[in-house]
Amino acid sequence: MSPRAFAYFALFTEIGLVLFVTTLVGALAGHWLDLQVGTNPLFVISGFLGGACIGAIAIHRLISRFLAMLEDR
Amino acid sequence: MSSEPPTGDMTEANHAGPAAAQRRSSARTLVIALVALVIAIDVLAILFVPPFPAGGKPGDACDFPVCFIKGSLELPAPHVLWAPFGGHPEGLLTFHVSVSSSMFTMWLVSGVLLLAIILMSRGGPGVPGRLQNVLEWAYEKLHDFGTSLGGRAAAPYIPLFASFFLLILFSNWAGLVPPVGRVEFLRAPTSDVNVTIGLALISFAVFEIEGFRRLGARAYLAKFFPVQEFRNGIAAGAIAMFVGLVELMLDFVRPLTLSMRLFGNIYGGEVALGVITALTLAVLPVALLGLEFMLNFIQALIFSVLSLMYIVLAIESHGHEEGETAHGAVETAPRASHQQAGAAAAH
Repeated sequence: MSPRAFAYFALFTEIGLVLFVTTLVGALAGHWLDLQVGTNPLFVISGFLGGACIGAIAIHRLISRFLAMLEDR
Repeated sequence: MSSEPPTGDMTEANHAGPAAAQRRSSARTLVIALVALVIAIDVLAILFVPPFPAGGKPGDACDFPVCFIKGSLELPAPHVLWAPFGGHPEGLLTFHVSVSSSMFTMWLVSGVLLLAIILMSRGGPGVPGRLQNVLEWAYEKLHDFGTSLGGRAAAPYIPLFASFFLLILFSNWAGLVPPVGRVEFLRAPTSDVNVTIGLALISFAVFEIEGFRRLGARAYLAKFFPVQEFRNGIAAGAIAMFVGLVELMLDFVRPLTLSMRLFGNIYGGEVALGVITALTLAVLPVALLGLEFMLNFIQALIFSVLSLMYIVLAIESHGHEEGETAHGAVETAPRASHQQAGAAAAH
């Protein structure tokens, strides 16, 4: 496997993990907020969706910067 | 049918044929003998020292398969070897000052690696020996690999890339050596989440500090808080601030993903290996051991490649997207110093 192909492979392993971590953090933060305010599923759902959206944007940023850098070399 | 006498080449081939066949046959016999030996040891071990429950004594009753599996599993929390302030860590997320089995194994791996590298490079700058040649070849391969990804900007960070790769690779492989993970004081370092978090935090510190150092405080902070975008209107500024905050969050997610990927893969591999070893004879675990050997190599390379890429991304300003990079600054710096040197010589 060429170095560049390996870098793409490493990047694609990162995508799922970034989405997982941001969604999990969003859902956990929402759960904590729900426990404080007493609005049980409201903030969990909005945290989950917000985390997923932020994860998607973060992945887009990561991929575009990564690919731009690799194409530069 | 031809009645011509055989040529010289054909005669050699005829002589080489039986010799090669004999070599293949003896290699096959050796492999069969080794497999038979391993199975014999396995059967003798089951007869004379049958599996016993974790924490129990040999001879205690052990039901197949649950007890067999439990006996060969490692818990996520490592064994504490020395705790200067006493006590014992409870749960996974606790702060407890201690020397764990994974730390001790990591020190052993680092020590052996350092010793091997010192011994291999003892020849000095003169005519290198065979081992030094191997070491230099391996380093050059890693150097070429790193620079082909990150360009010249990556060159100063190749020693870090190579260190991460070698340390993680041998830490992963340490888990495949039989006593590691089977005795209390030895455990594959990267199968402990504390070690992988430590490694990821080192990577995080390097790419943040290098980004700050190379870009300067203003450009570094502008990556996350692009307030200058408000000059193009409030909406553009708000969007840029949102994207900057996502970028800031992504920076903090990176050590998490780096550490979790390494820990998950190595720990998962060890659990799979433990379960297969508990449930089958020795032949199948050996095949899985070969697979783990390769996967551990890939995981070490993924961690070091991503660390290097993050450093190169961190030292690039956002102007990079329009074609202006810190990399350019790296390339122009030696040229500028040459010009200064030339001017000084002219004076």
